[in-house]
Amino acid sequence: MRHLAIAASLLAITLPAHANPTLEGVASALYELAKTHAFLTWTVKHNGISGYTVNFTDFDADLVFDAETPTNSQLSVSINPTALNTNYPDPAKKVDWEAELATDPRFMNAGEFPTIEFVSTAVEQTGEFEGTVTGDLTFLGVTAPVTLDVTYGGVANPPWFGQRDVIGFTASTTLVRSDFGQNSMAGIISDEVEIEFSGEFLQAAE
Amino acid sequence: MTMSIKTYLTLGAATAILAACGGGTEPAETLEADAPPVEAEAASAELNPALVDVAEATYSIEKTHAFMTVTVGHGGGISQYRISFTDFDGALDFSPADPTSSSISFSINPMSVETNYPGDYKAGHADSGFESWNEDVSRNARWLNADEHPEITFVSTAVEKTGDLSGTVTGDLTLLGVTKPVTLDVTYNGLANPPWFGERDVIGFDASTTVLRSEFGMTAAIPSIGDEVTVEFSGEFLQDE
Repeated sequence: MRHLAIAASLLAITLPAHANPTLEGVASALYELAKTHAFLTWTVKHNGISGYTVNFTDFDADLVFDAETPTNSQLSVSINPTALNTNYPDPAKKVDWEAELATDPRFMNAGEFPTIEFVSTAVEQTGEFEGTVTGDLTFLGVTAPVTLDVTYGGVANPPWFGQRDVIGFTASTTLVRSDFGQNSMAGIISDEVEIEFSGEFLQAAE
Repeated sequence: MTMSIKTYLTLGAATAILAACGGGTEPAETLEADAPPVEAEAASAELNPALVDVAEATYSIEKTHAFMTVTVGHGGGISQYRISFTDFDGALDFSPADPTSSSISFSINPMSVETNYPGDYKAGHADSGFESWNEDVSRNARWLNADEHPEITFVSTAVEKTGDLSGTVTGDLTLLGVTKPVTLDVTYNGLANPPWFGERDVIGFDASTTVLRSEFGMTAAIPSIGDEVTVEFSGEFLQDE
């Protein structure tokens, strides 16, 4: 018995407490986006033959996460529509192209609409670690409901954050940009826009 | 290569082509008259419509419509860390009649890493010998070690068809001086003929694969940063002049 107990305690030390993803022991708390580990992209079809992908490089999100009852969680996201990275290959043209995307009334029209916002209204669980988050997306001054497919990726506890939990998610949805009044270059640029997120949320400091 | 207006319309770029034809005033009969000659249609009878009017030719990456990303699990896999390469080139010998006889070579500049790192990297990483996180990923010997290995290359060795418009491309990937076979899952998305490229065809593909970075000698931070690396491409190839 003593040997077994030693073996068990050694196992407890060597192995993680539980396989990831897990919700066990995760703090129900306010979490803030860990901006250095968060990626948000939009992809449209170009001429029907390739995906054109752009990163949003300045966005923030607050998550009130309920680990016991994830459907009680709440999410709000704010995106700066001028912070775009197209990875356009020519450096000078890249600046012009991103400025055009940001400010042209055909595209983000950021002069008139300086933020894109999402505020959740309902969370549903569809699997152990999967669910949907429905909310109001405000884009180009139009507010319309959007549903995100969300997967919880698990918890990490890097020592430099002390007792604060870090939790990871991926999320995706497909928007119809004409629903928000954007019809430019129809036939060349698809009406459907795929949105993808992967990133981490850090438990807010006490 | 004769462009089939009919195919172009089918591919959904009706607006562009109608504009090119004078604001949509051309009658449909005129468009039909531009269809390929009968023998060409017969010869390509077995081809998927999306391949019928595509030139057998050498194509190069159309760099303004090409995206290559690398994603890797972070924090033990709780999130996906996403990096883009912004400077790469590819040459494709494409045979629409027999896609399995096609070949492709790719070259990626490992100095062209884009991590979209937010904020001031130096402020939070005073000890780093690099000016930016992009540069760290590019040049650090733990990562892409670009000073020593200034090029990542892929040269195809075999193409197989798995569906009408999908297949696999196996080839030799050289990363960090190590060459290993890698198989890409590839989807052909179709043909476009924007008027500004004249008679030159533009064809689009998606491709993806997963590689184990440890097989190329990059073992830093496993498993906090995953060994498994997903590589994704979506982009266009323009027929060479």
